[in-house]
Parts: sequence; C-alpha cells; structure tokens
Amino acid sequence: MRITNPTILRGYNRDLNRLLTLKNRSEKRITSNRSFSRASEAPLSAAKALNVRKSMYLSEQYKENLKTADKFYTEAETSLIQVSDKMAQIRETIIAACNTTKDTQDYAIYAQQLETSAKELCAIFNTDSAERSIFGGEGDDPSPFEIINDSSGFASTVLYHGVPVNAMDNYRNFPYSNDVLIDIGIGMEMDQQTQEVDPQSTLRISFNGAKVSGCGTEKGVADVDLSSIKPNRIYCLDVYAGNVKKTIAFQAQADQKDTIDVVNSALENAFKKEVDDGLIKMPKMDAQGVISVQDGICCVVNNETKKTINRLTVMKNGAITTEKVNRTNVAEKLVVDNDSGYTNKFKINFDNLKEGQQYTIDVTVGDKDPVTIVFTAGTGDDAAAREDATIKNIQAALDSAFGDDPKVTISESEATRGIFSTEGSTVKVAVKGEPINSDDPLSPKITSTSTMKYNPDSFKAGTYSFKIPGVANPVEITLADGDKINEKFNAAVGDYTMSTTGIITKKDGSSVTGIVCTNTADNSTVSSSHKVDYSLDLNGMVDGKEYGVKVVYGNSSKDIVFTAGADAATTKANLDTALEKAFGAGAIKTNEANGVVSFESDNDKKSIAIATKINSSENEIVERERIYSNNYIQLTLDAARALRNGDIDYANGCIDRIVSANENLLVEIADLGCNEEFISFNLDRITTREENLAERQNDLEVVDAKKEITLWKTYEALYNACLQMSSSVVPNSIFNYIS
Amino acid sequence: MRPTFLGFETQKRTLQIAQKNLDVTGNNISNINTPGYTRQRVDLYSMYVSGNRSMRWSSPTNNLSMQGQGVNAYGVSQLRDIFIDKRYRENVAVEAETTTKMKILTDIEDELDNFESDGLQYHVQQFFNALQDYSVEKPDSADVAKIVTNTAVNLCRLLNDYDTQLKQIESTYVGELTDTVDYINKIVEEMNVLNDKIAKEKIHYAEEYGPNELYDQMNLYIDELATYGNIEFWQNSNGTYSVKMANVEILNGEEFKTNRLIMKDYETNGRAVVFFESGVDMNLTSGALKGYIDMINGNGVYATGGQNSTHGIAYFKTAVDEFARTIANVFNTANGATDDASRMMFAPDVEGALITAGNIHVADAWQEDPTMIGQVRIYDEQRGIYRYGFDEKKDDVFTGEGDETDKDNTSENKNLQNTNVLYLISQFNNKALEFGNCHDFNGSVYEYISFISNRLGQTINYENSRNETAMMTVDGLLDARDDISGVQMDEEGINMLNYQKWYNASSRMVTTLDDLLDKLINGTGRVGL
Repeated sequence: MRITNPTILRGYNRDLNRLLTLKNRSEKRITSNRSFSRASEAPLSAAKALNVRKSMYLSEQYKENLKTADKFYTEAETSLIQVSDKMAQIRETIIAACNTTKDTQDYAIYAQQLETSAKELCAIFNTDSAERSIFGGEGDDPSPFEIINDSSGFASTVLYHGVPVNAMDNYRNFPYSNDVLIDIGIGMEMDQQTQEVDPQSTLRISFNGAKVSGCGTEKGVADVDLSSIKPNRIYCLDVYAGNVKKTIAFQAQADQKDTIDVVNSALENAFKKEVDDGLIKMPKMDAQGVISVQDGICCVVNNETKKTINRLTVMKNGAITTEKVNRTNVAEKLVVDNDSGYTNKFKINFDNLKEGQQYTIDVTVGDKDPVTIVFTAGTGDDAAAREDATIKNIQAALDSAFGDDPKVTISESEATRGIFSTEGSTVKVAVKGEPINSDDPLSPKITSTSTMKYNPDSFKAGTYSFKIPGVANPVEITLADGDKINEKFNAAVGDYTMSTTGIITKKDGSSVTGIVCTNTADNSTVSSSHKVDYSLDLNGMVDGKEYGVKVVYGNSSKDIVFTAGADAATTKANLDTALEKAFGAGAIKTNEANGVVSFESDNDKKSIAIATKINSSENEIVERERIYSNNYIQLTLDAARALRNGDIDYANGCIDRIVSANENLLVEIADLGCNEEFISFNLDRITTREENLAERQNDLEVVDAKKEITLWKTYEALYNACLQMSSSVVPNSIFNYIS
Repeated sequence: MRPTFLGFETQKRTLQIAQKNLDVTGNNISNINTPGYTRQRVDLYSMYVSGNRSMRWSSPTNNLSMQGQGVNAYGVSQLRDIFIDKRYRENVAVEAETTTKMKILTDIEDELDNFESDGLQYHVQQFFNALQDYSVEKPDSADVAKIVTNTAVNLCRLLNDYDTQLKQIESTYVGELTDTVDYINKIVEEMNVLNDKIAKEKIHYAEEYGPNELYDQMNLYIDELATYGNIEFWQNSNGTYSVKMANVEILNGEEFKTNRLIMKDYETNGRAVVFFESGVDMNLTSGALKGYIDMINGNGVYATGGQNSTHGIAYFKTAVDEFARTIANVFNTANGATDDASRMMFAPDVEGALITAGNIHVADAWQEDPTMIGQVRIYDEQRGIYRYGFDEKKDDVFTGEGDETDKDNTSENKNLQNTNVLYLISQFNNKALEFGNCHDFNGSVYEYISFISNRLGQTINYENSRNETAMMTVDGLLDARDDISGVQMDEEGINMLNYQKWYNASSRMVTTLDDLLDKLINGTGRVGL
C-alpha cells in the first residue's frame, strides 16, 4: 500500500473528529446525567424508559388516590368508633331511664338527653373529609343527615338526603346511594357497554349513610290524616312500597270514602306493573287512612321535594281526565304520620294466645279510666281461622264494654290485623298486671380495642409532628440517621407505646385512634393503618345455654352459635368447634386468658367477633303495635319520644335494638379496617414498586457516572495525544535528507 | 552504416525525456495537495528504428546501422483505477442518502421528543392524572373538572404544535430538495461545457492520451454528482464523459447534450416529484436526492399514489394526525358523542372536518362546562337512548294518558357518581384501539406513543448504522484511490534523484561522444602528432 500525505491527513482528521465526537457525547452524557437524550441513541432503552416512566406516573397517581382513600377511611373509622361510643352511652341512658325512675319529669330529662345524643350522632354522621361528606353516598350535600321536629317541637324524624330513614328498607333506594369507586391500579375492569365497574377491581370511597346508620323499619304502615284533606284539591304523595317508590296524584273528594277510593285507584294504577311482576303486593289505603301493603313496608311521605309538575291526571269519580296544572299552585301539604318509630297503637299478639283460653286485658281510651275486658282465644283448624275467631270475640267484648261511646274496633285487615283503634282518640291496651321484663342472658359480652400502626420504614431522618388526641400541643420528634422511631416516640409520649413494628397501644389498654403524624419537611401526612381487636368475655355465661356471635373473617361474615360449658375451657372448645365449622380448620384461633377470649386469624385478614342475640321468647299476649326503626338515630329519637309518653316497654325494646345496631356498626368498622389494611398494603406495594421503578429508570436513563467519567477521561487523553501528534502528522520525506 | 551523429540525436532525446520526467515529477510534487489530482507518469519506450536494408551499413545477417537509438516517450498518462472510482461513487451515494435521512429524522425527533422536554407522553399522562384526581372528587366540582379541561387543552396545543413544526420541517426540506435539483442541473451544465473543452483538446493527443487536467476536473464533478444519486459513467472515444443517473442519461458526451432534472411544484402536487426533461420519471436507488424524496414522501403504510413506504415526514405527520383523531374518537365516543354531538370532548376547528393534529381542540361545550364529562350516563328506557346528567333517575308521576314527552324533569336529586369519569379513565387501558385505518398499530394510547417514539428511534438508528458502514467503505475506497492515484513524496523524491542522475549520465554521454568526434575529426590521419 502506498501511503500518501492526503491518506495520512484524511485519516488523522477523521480520527481526530471521531474522538472529539465521542468526547463531546460523553461530556453531554455527564453534564445532562442522562445515558441518552434521543430515542435513536438507544432505541431499546428508550422504549423501556417510556414504559417505566408511564408506570412511574401511574404509581404516583395511584398513590395519591390511595392516600385520599386512606384519609377517607381513617376519618370514617374514627367517626364510626365515636358513634359506637355514643351508642353505648345512649344505651346506658335508656337503661338508666327504664330502671331508675318512674317520674314523668325525669323521663323528660332523659328524653332530652337522648335527643341531644341523637343530634350528636347526626353531627358525627355529617362529618366531611375534604369537603366531601363521608356518609353522604355520592351526594354533595355537606349535611346528608337532618333531624326535623314534630308539631310539638320535639326532634322526631331523621332524614337522609331529605328522605325519612324509615321510608325504605333497602339502602340502595335512597338518593345518592350509588357507590363512588376509584381506580387504584389493581386493574380496573369496566363493562364497556353498561359502564358498570367491577367493584373488586377498584376501591370504594363513599359510604351510604342509610346503610351505615340503618334504614327502614322492622315493620311499617303510614297514616294519612284524612281530616287534613280538603275536597277538590289536588295532592301528591310519594309512596314507598317495598323497595319501589311511586308518586301518586289525586284529587280529594267531598266524601271521605270516595277520596279513599280515588287514592286506591291511583295506587293501583301506579303500582300495577310492579304488582304484576310479583315484586310487591298492592298497597291500599284503609278506612282510617292507613296505607299499607300486606307483607311489606309501606310508607308515605309528603311530596314536597317536587316543585312543579307539568301534567297531572285528575281522577274524578274514578274516571281519568288530564288537566294541565302547576303543582306549586295546587299541591298541598298533607299531614302524614309515617309511623316512623314509636306509635301509640296496641295489638293482640296472636302467636302467644292459647286456643280456647280466657284472657283479661285493660283497654284505655284517651284520658278515660281503663276498662277491663275478658275474651276467649278463638279456636279453628288453622292460624287464620283462629285469629278471625279471636278478633270476633274481642270485638264483641269491646262492643259490650264501650258500645258506640266511643266505638273501639280491632282491625281485621291483613296489614293492621289485631290493632285496636277508635276515631279521634288513642287506645291503650295492657295485660292485667306488669309485663315481665328481664335482661336477656344470652347476649355475650364483646369488647373491642383499636390500635394504630405506622410503618417504621416510612420514618427517615427528619422532624415529625404527632397530633395526639387529648394532648394539647403536637409532639415533635426529630430523628437522626439510625434513630428508631419507636424509641423516640416512647421517650416523648407518655401514655402511648409504639412497638418496634410500629403498633401504637395505649398504656391503659383503651382504644387508640385519631393520631396524625406529619412530616414537617414537606407537611405530608405519614400514612397509618388501624386495627381493631375484639375479645369475647366468657365470664357469666350460663352453662348449657346457646350463645351467638357474629364473626367477620376477611370478607365473610357468619353467625356462630355455641353452647356455654361449665368452665371457660369447655366453652372455648365449643366456640372453637363452631368457628372451625364456619371458616375451616385453623382459620381463626382463639386465645383465652381469665375467661376472656381474643381472636387471631391465620393471616393478615382481620377477624372479629360481634355479639348477636340468638333467641328470646317473651310470652305476652298483648303488645304495642311497635315499629322499631332500623336507623339508630331514629331509634334514639323514638326512645326519647317513648320516654316522654311513659312507654317504658318501647324504650326497653330500643335497648336491644341499639345493642344489635352497635353490632352492625362493628361489622362496618371491621369492614373499614379490612379496607384500610388493603389500602395500607397497596400503599406499601406501590412504594416498593416506585422504588423499583426509580431504580430501573436509573439503570435505563441515568448515566453510569463511574463508567462514563472513565470513558470521558480516556477520550480526552486520546484526543490530547492526537493533538500532540499533529506536528508530526505530515511525515518527513526523502526531501528532508537530500541536498 | 551508422550515421556519424547518431549518438548526439539519441542523447539529445534522452536529455529531453529525462527533463520531461523531472517536469512530471515536479508537477506531481506541486499537485500533491490538489483535490482530484491524479498522479502522472511519462510513458517511456526504447527507440526502435526500422531495419530497412537500404541502409548501407547493414548486412544481410545483421541490422546494426539503426540500433541503439535510446529512449523516447509516448506521452504523459494518469494512474487511475476506474473500478475503484465506480465503487467509491456507489458507496458515497449511500453515505449521502443516509446522512440526509438522518438529518431530517433527527429534526423530527427533536420535535417529537419525549425525553428532554415534556412530550406527548407527559401531556397524555397529565390528562390521565387530572381525570384520576377528578374521579376522586365530586363530578360537579367545576374547579377540579376545569383542570381536566386545561390538561386536554395543553394536549391539543402540543398536537397543534407538532403539526406546525412537522409542516415547517417539511417545507424546509422541500426547499432544500428544490435547491439540490437546481444545483445538480448546474453541475451537469458545467460538465457539458467541460466535455466540449475536452473534445477540442483531445484531437491534439494520441488515442490513449488526453488532457489529464481536464479529466481530473471532470472526475471531480462526477464524484460530486455521485453524492446525489446512483450514477453510471463512461468515457467516449472523443475523450468526453457520459453520465447516467438512475439509469437515465443526463450527460451525453458524444452529442454534448444534457437532460435536466425538473421538480414539480410541491404545493400543488402535495408530494415531491422529480423527473427528467426527457419526460422519464426518476427512480433513484441511492443518493442525497433519494434521501430527500424518501423522507418527504415516506408515508409508511399510509402511502398512496406517488408516496413511498419509508417512515418519513409524511408518515410522522400522519401518525400524529392519527393519534389526534383516535384520541378524539375514543373520548368522544366514550363520552356519548355518537348519540349527541354536544357531548364531544374534542372537535376540529371547522365543524364536520376530519380531526387532525393541526385542528384538534377541546370542544366548546366542554370548555364552557368542564363538568360535562362528569355527568352520569343514564339509560332512558322510554326513549331507548342514553342520556347524561347529574339528575337522579326520575320516577315520573303517574300521568295516565299524558303526553310522553312532556315530563317533569326538575328533580332536585343529583346523581354524583363518577362512573363516566372512570369510564373515560378506562379508555387509557383499552388495548384494542386502532390507530389509522391501515393496521399500522393496534393497542393502547400509551403503547402507540411508545410505538411512534420507538419507530422513529429505530429508523434513525438503522439509517445511522447504514451511514457508518458506507462511511467506512468510502474511507477505505479513498485510501485505495490514493494507493493508485495519490502522489507519494518519497517516491517522487527518489524519482527526482533518479531522473537527475539519468540526465547527468546522458550529459556525460554527450561529452564522450564529443571526445570521440574530436578524436575522429582532429586526431585521425595525423600520425605521430
């Protein structure tokens, strides 16, 4: 090969330039701290990096969503624990009222206390988290719960989003009862056609207040005050039958009976489809203005929420004509007693009557003296025939005792069967003598303690501020590298103990809630989880009796029935057998100490136990037609009303129901706990994921400094060496040596 | 018999030839750095004079009289390897083509960047995050909803900007292409003039020789022309060169004709079209010109008449358009715009126009009411359609035979579920989206962004490796060319010494001959003097 000067120079230039390019590229990588700045420099890394970036963005967003949800759940749990405490207090108040006094004055004070408690409950349920009402479903009303007063100024009815809580027994039929679900990155699945979200693939961030506080009643009818209806006027009513709500409009007639016919005709037209479909039975209004269905709940509320209506059908004499009217001009408020809660109706308890036996009852009409009547329980081939005969006998006895002054009747219609009534006044019925009242020995005692848990790894060096309920100023804890949060925390906070795993307990053993920890560096809240531990007290259980507990394990809730033994060990063994049968072997372990059993599940799923009443039999033949609300705010108000009316039996009935409501509440709290654990788990998972992603991004996008600087140094040295060579690039030739 | 002064003639020629050799050596050294210069050489031969018997000194057995006539030269030739030239020109075309493509693609990449600045992925992500934030809040909270609208506006602006920038790149390179076509025509014109000069000079030379310097100049032109397209070239018997570009003759050395390139007006044609004056279409296989045309017309799978399937400016413009269109269609459909046009989230500037990256913007209805996308989809059983709103499903007052359409819609209850927002969010995970109608890509929005970024990166990377290979080959060929045609200093130095000594020897011979003649003339016959 002949090497010519141009060959040498071209090669030199080319190599010099190549070195400069490499050096420059290396410099750029170092100064930008990026291993590539264009996708074309490293197409594979770039494609991966885009994916990693997407995942990082998503993780960040899901973390935000989870934090929001976490806050929401924490606040919900705090609220429900407060509610639970408040209900224990309400129960104490009612028990105190029932047991310790007979004075009307004192009843009024207790009733006042209960009313206040109910309002406090209402306020707790109206708590909001970041402007969103926690227990308001998806609605935006800051106060979904409202208590309205009756005509005498006493708090009487609880409304949820404007609808009486007793109106429907399916919480899903209340306004804003849809779930609000958020995407937390666990693969949200959505039906592309119906837009229905699979709740399993998302997290719910709404609580239906009607569900949490209870809704509907054990039984219900509604009274329309027929005397308040004025002839020829048009009225609108929202009628809730079963779970179906319809609005009916009718024009009042001159004759009350005709009005009732018109209402029934309107009801038939409105509910025809649902009745035909077999969903409900037809609601009907009886001669007293009571609207009821045969086997379900029927409740009527004034149709005030609807302001205008363009077209109404007016039914005259049963015929249907249409007429365009504006409802605001014609719709009048009807006086309706929704029979929500306590009512003053008494009925015969047919179940407890023995065929052919004679019974004695006192019947009191209005303020008059009680009249004692005697009747014989009817006989017959089946229950219906026996009931008919009994009603006939009682009616005959009533007629002979009262005649038409006033006319006292016992109802035959299916919905109100056995109820005593008279026109224009109240009727009270009592069995001769005092009713038996005893504590139900079959409700086991359940106690609960809640603890909070912080992830110790989330505390890095820095200053953290702990807001602790009951401690006036936030406690500031400064951590240096290597400091353990639990040691610092325990040194700073006296009443609480934090374990090495971050679990905070109170030294006196009571519940721990509401601690908020803030990282002062960026004012962010350190996430925490709650855990509620439940224990069952075996002491005082009666040998051979059956007890019931409701146990929640993970997502399933089951009723467990076990028989108490002679000692705690036998009872525990029976309980274990029942638990094993319900959840499988080894799922839930029980630990017994001093007759108190605590529960432990086989994994992180939470197990709790909740008392539930298994059976109770009272042998009363007369009972009040009592409607107990499933909603415990309403129940508290009803108890207050009963106390004012001196109806201790009703108030007593409220105690059991408040206990069972509290049990339901504990199920809700357990459910929240599970969700919080789920959030906490996911937050941890996302944090780990974020770390992995950051590392991966580092690998893909960030320059490997050691390697790159070494490279750059090499290029620089080579480049300099190349430059040094420049003076001798053009070689000597023969001409340097010839003369 | 030998002519008396034969030796003088021989030495005179030798001195001249030696002198010429020194001249050519000097010329080689002088032109050592001249671009395109080809090493020259004097082609020597040993003189031979016809052995005609009429020469008197000759005998039937020998032919001595005219022997020993010394050296002579045919002419000055160039040292050039036509095969290296051919290979060099083939490879330099590939190098130029890939350099052009890389330049254009890098410009596109700068605009569609996702790494150094906030690109499409970032803005799509912002849109997604805003929807997520919105889904956590109440759907009628206008302030949070407004953030979603704003992120969508930013996304649209980015797409609009992409469109503007890509059009700008397109216009820049259409301009460069036009200039290149003009420049090629200019070179070919100059070559034609040079051909004329060569032909006029060539007649003075023997068949195998010609005007070396003009040939050098011509080869420089051919080298340059080779960077623009794949060419073929050959030398005609009159010394001129003819050149074919893309298999079509653009320079005819025998008839001194050129075949100009003509570019059609880009604006009216919508694509880059170059053809020959003779009416033939240009079909290049390499060269910078091909680089420009491929990149301007390259529309991938979307290529229609006259376009090609490379991934050039047209393709990335279409890809961004398809992105805009698909995003708009997906979200419009998800938001119920199929049944009700007022539910469109994204709309073109002009109603009814096809959505492109250039005209996409957030629909007015959505701008005016940001919470529009939060409204819940409700099935209206009576009308059999879906409607949207915050109002709870109504239980209509029983109206008997009333007019169906005349309903009481003034419910105060609101349905504040976030299902529609979640539905919009779920669209990001929809992996069955079809981008473009040519099966270019099926997948999710994110995957498409990644796909485009990757395609661009891969294309550049591919062109880059082609470019590097071609450059290596070109460098090697340049060295090989120097090996043959380059001037080597030492070699020339040695030649110089050699020729100088030769000249000296020849001069000395003249002295010797002179002595011989002196003896003959002045000393012959004078015995004893």
